[in-house]
Amino acid sequence: MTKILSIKDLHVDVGNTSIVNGLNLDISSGETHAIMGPNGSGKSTLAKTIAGHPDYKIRSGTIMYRDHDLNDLSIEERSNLGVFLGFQYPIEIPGLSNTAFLKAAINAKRKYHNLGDLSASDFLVDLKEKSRMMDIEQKFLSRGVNEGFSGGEKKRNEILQMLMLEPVLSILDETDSGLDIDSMKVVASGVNAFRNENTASLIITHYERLLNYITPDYVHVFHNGAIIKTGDIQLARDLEEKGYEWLTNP
Amino acid sequence: MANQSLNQSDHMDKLQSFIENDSRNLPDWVNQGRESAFKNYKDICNKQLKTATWKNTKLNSMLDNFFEKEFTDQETSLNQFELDSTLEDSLRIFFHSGAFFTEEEMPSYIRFLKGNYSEENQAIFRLENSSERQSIPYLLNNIISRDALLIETAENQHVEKLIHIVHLPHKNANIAPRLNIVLAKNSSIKIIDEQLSSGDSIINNYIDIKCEEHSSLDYYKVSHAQNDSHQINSLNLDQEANTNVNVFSLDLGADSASSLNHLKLNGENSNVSCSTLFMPSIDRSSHHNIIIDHLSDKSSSSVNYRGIINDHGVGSFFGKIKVTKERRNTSAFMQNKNLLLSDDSKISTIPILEIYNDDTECSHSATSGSLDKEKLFYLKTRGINEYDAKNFLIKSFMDELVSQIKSRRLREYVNGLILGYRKD
Repeated sequence: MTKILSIKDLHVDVGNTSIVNGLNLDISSGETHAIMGPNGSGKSTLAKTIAGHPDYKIRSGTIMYRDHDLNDLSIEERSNLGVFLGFQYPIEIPGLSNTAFLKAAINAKRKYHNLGDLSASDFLVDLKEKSRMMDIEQKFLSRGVNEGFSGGEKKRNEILQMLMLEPVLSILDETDSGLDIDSMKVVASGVNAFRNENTASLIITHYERLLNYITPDYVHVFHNGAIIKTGDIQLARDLEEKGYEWLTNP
Repeated sequence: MANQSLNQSDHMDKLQSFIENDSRNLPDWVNQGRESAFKNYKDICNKQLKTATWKNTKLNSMLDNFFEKEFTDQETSLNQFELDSTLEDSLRIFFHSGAFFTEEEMPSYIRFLKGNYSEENQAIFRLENSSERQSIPYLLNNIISRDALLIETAENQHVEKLIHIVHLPHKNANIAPRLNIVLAKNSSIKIIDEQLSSGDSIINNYIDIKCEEHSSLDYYKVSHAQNDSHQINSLNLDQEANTNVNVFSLDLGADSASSLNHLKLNGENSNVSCSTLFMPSIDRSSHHNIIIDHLSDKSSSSVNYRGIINDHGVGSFFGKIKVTKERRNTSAFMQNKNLLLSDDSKISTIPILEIYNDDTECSHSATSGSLDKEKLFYLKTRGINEYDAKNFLIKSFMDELVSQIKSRRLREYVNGLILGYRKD
């Protein structure tokens, strides 16, 4: 097992507001971590900070991704080195087809690693297989990115992008919100297909139900921008039963 | 901003001298038309320069430079120009040095002077003296133009072949192309009117379109970037009952580029869609005025203008839809969206609805802003660099208009032009 993500004493500000306050977190290859916590606890801020959103400023502390200090890398470099963020609210881009977008993304990554463009046929074979796995109809792929997609389709499309880009670290920000039970199973199967000894996942969720399909190795409870408790799947079940208050306001 | 330096009397003297000293032996009907236009021009010029239509344009500086450009005829050979072959299988008509010409046999529904100023050819010009035609561009076009192109379909004629009018590049020229399109009952045609890049020139295009009942027109106006040039495109459209007209314009900007569209829905069930994409950059400007008159019941209009303004570019949109008290069951939609790509780019937008009854469905909107930061972030999180991400978002912004072009080949042609322009 090698260390993939190492966050030390991280403090993050958005504007003049301090959102993440002294966070420490280590994730190694092969591991799946879940972060749970009440609204406004800083979960999504952490996800966007790792991905490099320009509005989220690291005041102090470090985020090491493998051998790289993420603060030194642009958003696209982080992606090309294997960091993937599945959005809570996937963005619609009409006029840019899903297929063209995915192809551009894959070839950008290949170019970064001094590889030539993926052949059209190899790309299409891969896309067909993975879109079938995510239960996304072929006709959706020629539409604009997320254009006219339902909430569930958007989330499945995020996982499709993850599978196509083959990242090392996948951060899924409330991928389960707005999903019906069937869509959740599809999303979970995609995430489970991604899991192997060389990859790692950080799953941000409010509810235990997704974790019934993607069993995490660790469950962390986030409050006021820091981890206040770490456990296993049983912790998620306790939260489902008792809520957060027994931890945040004991 | 407008240059208020025009010396009116000097300008008028030069214009009069130009008319009087034309060395060609022109027939009376041409001279009378010019004199009549000049008389009206003197009456309206000063007044119109102060109106909102021209307030933000550089029309004054264009008129200042008016006589510094060449009016003389030049010999033209197509070999002089590098022409794109994408639309080669269309019926091509060229314009250069004040005259139209072709290299192939023209069908009977296409006419131009070919140097023949006979009385019979007077009809090609379709000169009119009505008050609504009393605009600076129209009258100047009457004074300067030496030729006109008339495309006039017969009843029940459906022209399948694309008509491609190519305005060849000019240098230091003052030209006034004139295009008349008349669609007879139950006829249809598709026309692309393309202005290639000129330098140091004044181009005053006037397009007059008349659609009789049950006719259908797709008209595409493509203006490449004009260098150190002034360009005016005026379009006057009259639609009778049960007609459908789609107008799409692409304007890549000029020192000053202006479009003036006046669309009149005269007959029941007349429908018009007018879309324009304008992209001024460097220090170019692109100004657009459109007026739609709903003069009949059950008429519908859709206006969609999008501006992409970069560097020190300046754009403006002024749109007005008028529905009078008597008109019933009309629908009108007007939208102007603008993308500002630099801190120094500027846009002004004024959409106006003048609706005088309740039996109409109208909406209008205008937005201006920079590229969406969250969309940029999303694309970058997928490994796409800043330059490509911005280009994707610009394409996304344009695509809603370009995708309306029905012909796939034309759509690809327009996309290619835009792509090439952005790479430049």
